[in-house]
Amino acid sequence: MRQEPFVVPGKLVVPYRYFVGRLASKALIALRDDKKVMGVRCPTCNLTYMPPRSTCGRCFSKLEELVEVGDKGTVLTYTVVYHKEPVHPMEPPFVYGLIKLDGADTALPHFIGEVEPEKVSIGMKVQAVFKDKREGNILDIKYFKPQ
Amino acid sequence: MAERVAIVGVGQTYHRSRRPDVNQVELMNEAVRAALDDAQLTLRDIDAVVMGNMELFEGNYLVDMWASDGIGSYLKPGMKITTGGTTGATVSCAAFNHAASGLFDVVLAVAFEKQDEGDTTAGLNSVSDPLWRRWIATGAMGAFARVGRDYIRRTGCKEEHAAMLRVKADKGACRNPYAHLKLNLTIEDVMNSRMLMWPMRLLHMCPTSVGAAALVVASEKRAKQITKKPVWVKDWVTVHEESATTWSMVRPGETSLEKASRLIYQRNGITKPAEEIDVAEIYEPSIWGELAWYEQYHFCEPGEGWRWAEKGVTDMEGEFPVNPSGGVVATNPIGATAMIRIVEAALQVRGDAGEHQVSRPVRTAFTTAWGGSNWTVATLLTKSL
Amino acid sequence: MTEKPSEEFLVMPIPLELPFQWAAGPYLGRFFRELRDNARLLANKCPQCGRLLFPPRQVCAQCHVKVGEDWVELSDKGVVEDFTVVVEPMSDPSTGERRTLPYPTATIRLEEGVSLIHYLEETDSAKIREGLKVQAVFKPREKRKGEMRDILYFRIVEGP
Ligand SMILES: [Zn+2]
Ligand SMILES: [Zn+2]
Repeated sequence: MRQEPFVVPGKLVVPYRYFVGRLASKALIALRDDKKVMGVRCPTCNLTYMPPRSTCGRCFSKLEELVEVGDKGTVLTYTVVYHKEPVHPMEPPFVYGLIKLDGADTALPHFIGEVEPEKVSIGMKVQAVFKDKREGNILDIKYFKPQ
Repeated sequence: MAERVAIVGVGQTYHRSRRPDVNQVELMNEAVRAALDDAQLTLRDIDAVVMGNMELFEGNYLVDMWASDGIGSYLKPGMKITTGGTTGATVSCAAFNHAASGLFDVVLAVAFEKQDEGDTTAGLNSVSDPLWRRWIATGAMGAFARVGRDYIRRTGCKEEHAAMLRVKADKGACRNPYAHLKLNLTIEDVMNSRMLMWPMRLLHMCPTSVGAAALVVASEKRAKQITKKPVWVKDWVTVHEESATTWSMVRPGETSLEKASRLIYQRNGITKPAEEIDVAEIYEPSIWGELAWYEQYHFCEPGEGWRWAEKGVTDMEGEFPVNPSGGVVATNPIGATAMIRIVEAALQVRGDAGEHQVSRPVRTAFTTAWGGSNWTVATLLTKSL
Repeated sequence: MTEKPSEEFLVMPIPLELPFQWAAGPYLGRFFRELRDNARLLANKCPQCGRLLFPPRQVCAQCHVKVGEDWVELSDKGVVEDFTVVVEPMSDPSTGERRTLPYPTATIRLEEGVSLIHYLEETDSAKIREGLKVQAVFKPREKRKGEMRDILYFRIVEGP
């Protein structure tokens, strides 16, 4: 006699916290306190990483030189989210973009706002909009809006 | 026939309970740089990178995705491994296998845990079967309280004996610059520490540490070029037990600890381990594990472990030193812990352990790792081939 | 160590709460169904070595053979093999909540020789010892859901 499979709903609940480390702390404190967007420069490879990291993957140098990459950049690519999911940070439709800040060589994933999703385009120039109450994380930038 | 392999560089962090100054990747990076420095190599010499941690202690389930910059795996082959308490040893074995296969000459292995980022007991309970055991799981404390209780009942051991081994561990840790807990303990301190679950007291249990370890492993030909003091990895073995519904390590019958050590002794012609091995670095998350497991590793006769504690057999200056580093009970960055056994054993073989170098000459070292109740990794390191 | 206490290090709280649907499979599923519907404990028997598998499962790990449908009903009585009293606060990963303390847990060997870990009704550790005879106390039918906690606890029925 076949029976219905016995399936038990459950969940996994564990509290975590991530330490961002010395270098990223400095960068995010600058964002929180002074609305400065910081990357880190590898002098060997002559590349500026944003988000900052403390080792260059290409040459394994220790990276310590934080540099301001500015609050303006270019949309490298983007996608529009139309469906609703509990994990989504906001009501659809909304736009995720990869943004290369002017002073950086790498792309930062973030939201694109204050624009109709249909009007977003690759190569569009955008500018960071900061939160008023900043806490020291990358969401202290609310989103990027067209320049 | 596999290539012979050697450890040519070791590194570890200064283990602490909190490291808010580094993120996970930066923590690993410290150990990687230390191991490369020790081997006097640069990342260019590394052909593959293997890494691991117990991801549910950080809640970051693809840490290799974040870590390539910091561990040096950018555009290099490698993999991530998670096997519970044995993670650091399994990562090491993977590095040995990589080099022994002949496919890679020099392999970097790195393992870490950042326990200041999660809730270790909640994380550990979540490895239990969700339907059968998770609701009543009590992490490692419950498991080792059972080991202690069983050992006391079976052998007539007293709480003092656990305290003696704990003081021995602390003496080692106080001489080890990298160790986490350095407490200058007395027997009374241990006997008076807070009771967690009878007979388990706070000081019988390992701390929750933050730390990383790394190894550089090389094939025979490269090892001889790289260093004058290669530590040969003579053999390594992993043994699994049946999935546990209750903790099988307190039951009669051969455990993975017994099988793994018996196998590695047999394969290497060791008939009297405590005489033929010069130093052991074993995985004992609780001092009750050390007491109860001496016999499971066939070091001594059943029930003799506590007499060894009385006689100081396994002290740093004893006939058969065990865990001169201070062991897991002093330092437990879980994912890295089993690799630290290998790092410490390699330092003993090289004669480079400094203040905690054992007094007898070391030609052969034995290490173990243990995970869940279900599996054991053992390695045998030697000074000469 | 270069850590300066005056320096600010940022930390991001990341609470994790993930929903799952765990399939018990035909063997453990039958066990839970029987526990829920009839307050009975089942094991299945290895056709090769003859031992009881508890919890019931598909393969005998020692013989590497399929175990099949040779079901055995177990007694609800057993003996306390060992026990411990949990006094350390720990959070339950199934709920995220702290467990109420203290509580005793025991390994109980049922009359057929298989063991499980469960709660004891008696919470005074001075009254608990190895060898005590105990019996399972089940929740009433309407409260049973097909989980190990359908057994409320084990009650001491007789000293050794
Ligand atoms: Zn670089
Ligand atoms: Zn069988």
